[in-house]
Amino acid sequence: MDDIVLRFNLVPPPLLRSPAQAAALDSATITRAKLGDIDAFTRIVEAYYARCLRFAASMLRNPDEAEDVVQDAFVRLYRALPRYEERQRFESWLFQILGNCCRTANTVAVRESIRSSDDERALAQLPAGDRADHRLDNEWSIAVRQALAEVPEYNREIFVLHYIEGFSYEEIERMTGVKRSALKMRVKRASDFLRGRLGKVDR
Amino acid sequence: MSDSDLDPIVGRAVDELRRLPVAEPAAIARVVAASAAARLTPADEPLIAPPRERSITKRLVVGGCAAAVVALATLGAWQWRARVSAPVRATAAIAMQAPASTAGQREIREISSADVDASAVAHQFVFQSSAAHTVAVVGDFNAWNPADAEMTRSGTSNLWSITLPIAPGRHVYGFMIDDTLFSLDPQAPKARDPDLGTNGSVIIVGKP
Repeated sequence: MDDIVLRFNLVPPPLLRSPAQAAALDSATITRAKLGDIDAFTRIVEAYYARCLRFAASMLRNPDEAEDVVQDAFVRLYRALPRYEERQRFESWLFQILGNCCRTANTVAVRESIRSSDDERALAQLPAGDRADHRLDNEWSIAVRQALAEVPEYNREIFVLHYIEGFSYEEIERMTGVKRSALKMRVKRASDFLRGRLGKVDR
Repeated sequence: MSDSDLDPIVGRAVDELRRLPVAEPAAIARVVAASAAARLTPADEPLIAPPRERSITKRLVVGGCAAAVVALATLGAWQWRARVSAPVRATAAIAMQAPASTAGQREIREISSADVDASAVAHQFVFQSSAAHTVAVVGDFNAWNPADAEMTRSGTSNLWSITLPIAPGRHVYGFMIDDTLFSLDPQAPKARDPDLGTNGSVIIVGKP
């Protein structure tokens, strides 16, 4: 769980950017990776690894598995790259694969209790003498992640794809096959749930 | 619902959740190594789509059809080789040592343009070389003719590329550097090709 709390950059979050702006990989890099160029594939991993880790940590019942699941997603991506068709947006394709890997991992076992106990352990590991506002930041961070973990998976995934990863409803509709009206409803339900949970801990 | 429509509390939660975790270089290296180790070679291709179980009746029907197709393909290949294989072998042999003759190129180009497949798929070849003055892709899809597919250098980079229409299926190819040196594609699997008489690089175009 220290992955979730301690290793996050405590810097102001970036403004919501479109995925295209967030990681603008030129098509030549993707083409070279498709042909097996491992250097080009390394650039793809470097461009998307942190975002994939963030998405997996939000989606997995056991966020400790995030690194393993992200690695599995990239392995699948690299093996499937020769069949990638450029009319499909690369980033949407990557997150579809990652979403499938997360769902697979979540079906293996229910480990909600591990998450909360790990959160407590991670908080206890904070350096002694840490500033009070730093501690408050981490308490808020833990509360947010715990609340998000309690959002039903089918609502959480759409909320994260839209608000955290910056995909438009149109893109998510193409990725998931779920109608836009249903997507908006899921995001609203996730938002209502978070507001209800976090309203009590808001400082 | 846009960012501005967000409830302030949910907005703060979104800001928190947008914080990117640290991407450890060691973790990225592990991902790349695992991916490189797992990538399938064409020899493993059947593993992607294992054969489905079929009934005996279906097997008989499919087997009969397959036999007919093989017979037709053998007849066609016999006729095709009578037309093409000799010039192809000649060009490949010459290409290993010196530029192909103009007459040979013209003859082969006519054959390759006549054989263009309507279902061809655009495929980009990329080769990296800082010392080369010219690079061409040669393969069974262009009758091993370096004059037929000269690659262009991308600006001041070391990357040479060309996009060609390639018929779906398995193809053997390589790169001709400065019209004299034959090189395999370091990024592609290798296969021995009886027409070329040496190793070639392999691509699978289209769905297997």
